Amino acid sequence: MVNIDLKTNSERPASEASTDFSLMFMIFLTVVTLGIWGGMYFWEGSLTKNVQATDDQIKMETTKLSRQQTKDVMDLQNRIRVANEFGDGKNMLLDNLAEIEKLLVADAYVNSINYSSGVTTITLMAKDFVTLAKQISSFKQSGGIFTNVSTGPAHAGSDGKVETTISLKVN
Amino acid sequence: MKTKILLFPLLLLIIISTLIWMIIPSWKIIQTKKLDLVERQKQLEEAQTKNKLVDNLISVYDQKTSERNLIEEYIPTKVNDEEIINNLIYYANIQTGDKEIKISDISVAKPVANKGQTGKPPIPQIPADVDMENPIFPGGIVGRKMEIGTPLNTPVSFDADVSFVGKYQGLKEFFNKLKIFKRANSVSSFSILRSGTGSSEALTVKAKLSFNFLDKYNPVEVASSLLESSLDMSVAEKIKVNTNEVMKVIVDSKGRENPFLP
Repeated sequence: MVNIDLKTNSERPASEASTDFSLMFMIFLTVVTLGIWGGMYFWEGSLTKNVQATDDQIKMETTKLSRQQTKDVMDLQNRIRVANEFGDGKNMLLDNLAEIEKLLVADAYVNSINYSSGVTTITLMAKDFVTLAKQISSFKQSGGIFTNVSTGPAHAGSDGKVETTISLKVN
Repeated sequence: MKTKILLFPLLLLIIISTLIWMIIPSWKIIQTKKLDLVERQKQLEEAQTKNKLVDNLISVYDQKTSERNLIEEYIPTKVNDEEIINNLIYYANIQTGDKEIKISDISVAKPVANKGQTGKPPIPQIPADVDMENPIFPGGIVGRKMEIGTPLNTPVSFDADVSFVGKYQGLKEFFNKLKIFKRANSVSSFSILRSGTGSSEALTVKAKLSFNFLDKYNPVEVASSLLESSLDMSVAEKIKVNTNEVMKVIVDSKGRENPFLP
C-alpha cells in the first residue's frame, strides 16, 4: 500500500515563512521600543545631572555674590530708593502757612489751624460777613495747594466779628 | 506554531505597555527637565553677569564716601531717638528774642513695622515638596526659577510728638530747621492755636513728626534679582540743597506775615 500525501508541498513553507517574518518584525519592534525607553531613561538621567550641576554653579555664583561688599552696595541702593520715595523734603506745615499767608485778606485772621490726613481746618475770624465771603473766595481762587474749600456755619459775636471753620483739602 | 501565534499578542502588549507606562511619561519628564535646565542656565548667566556688575559698583561705592555718608545719615539704620530729642531741643534753644520757643513736650513713639513686614523676611528656598529628580512642581509649574536670597528691608516709620509755645516767626524758624537735621522727616499732622486774646502773639503748637529708619541689609544670601545696575547718588545732592535752603528761608513779605494777628 503506497502512502498518499494529500498536502501540497508548496503551502506549508510559505505560511511558516510569513509567520516567521512577522514574528521577527514584532521582535524587532519590541527591541526598538525598549531601546527607545532605555535611551530616554539615560537622557533623563543626564538632564537631571545637568540640572543639579547648574544648581551647584548657581549656588557657587550666588555665594560669591553674597560677599559683604555686595550687601553694602545693595543696602546703599535700598537707602537711595527710600530717600527718593521720601520726596524732596517738603514740609506740609510750612507749605500750609505760606499759602495761608498769601491768601489771607485784610480784616481777617486765623485763630487756629489743624492739619491731618491731607485736610487743613482753619478757624477764621473776619470783621464781618462781607470779609468772610472775600476770604472764602480768596481760598477758592488760589489755585495753589488748596484744592477743595468747604465752609462751616458762621457766627457773628457780640463784637460783630464773624467766626467760622474752613476746611481745605491739601493737594 | 501555537507558541509563535501566542508571541504576537504578547509582543504587542509589551510594545503598547512600554509606550503607555514608560515612554510617554518619560518624554513628559524630559520636556519638563529641559525647560528647567534652560531656566537655570539663564539664572546662572544672570548671576555671572551680576558678579561682574558688583565689581563695577563697588568701585563707585568706594569712591563716593561723602555722598554715601550723607545718604546713610538721611536714612539711618537705627531709631536714634535720643538724637531726635537732642536736636529738637537744640534747635529750640538756639532761637532767641522774638523767635524764642518753649518746648513743653517731646515724645518718640515706639517704631512699628510697616504693614506686611514682620521682622526679617524669611529666606526663600526651594520648596521641600519639590522632587529634584522629577521637577514637576506642585500646581504644574515647570522650569521654575530657583529662588535664592533675602529680600531687601523696608523702612520702619515712627512718630515724634513735639509741643511748644512761641510766636509765629519762631514756629516757622523751628520747622525750617528740621531740614538741617539731614535726616528724612516730615510733619504728618499739626495744630496751631492762639494762646492768648486780643493782640497776643503767643501760639500753642502741637506737631507729629514722622521719621524712619532702615535696618542694615546683611543677609546670609543676597537676593541678586534685586541688585540694580547703577548706584545713582544724585539724591545726596538733593539732600545738600535742602539743607542749604534752610539758611535762606525768610517770611514772605507779601500778604500777611502773621495770619494769627488781627
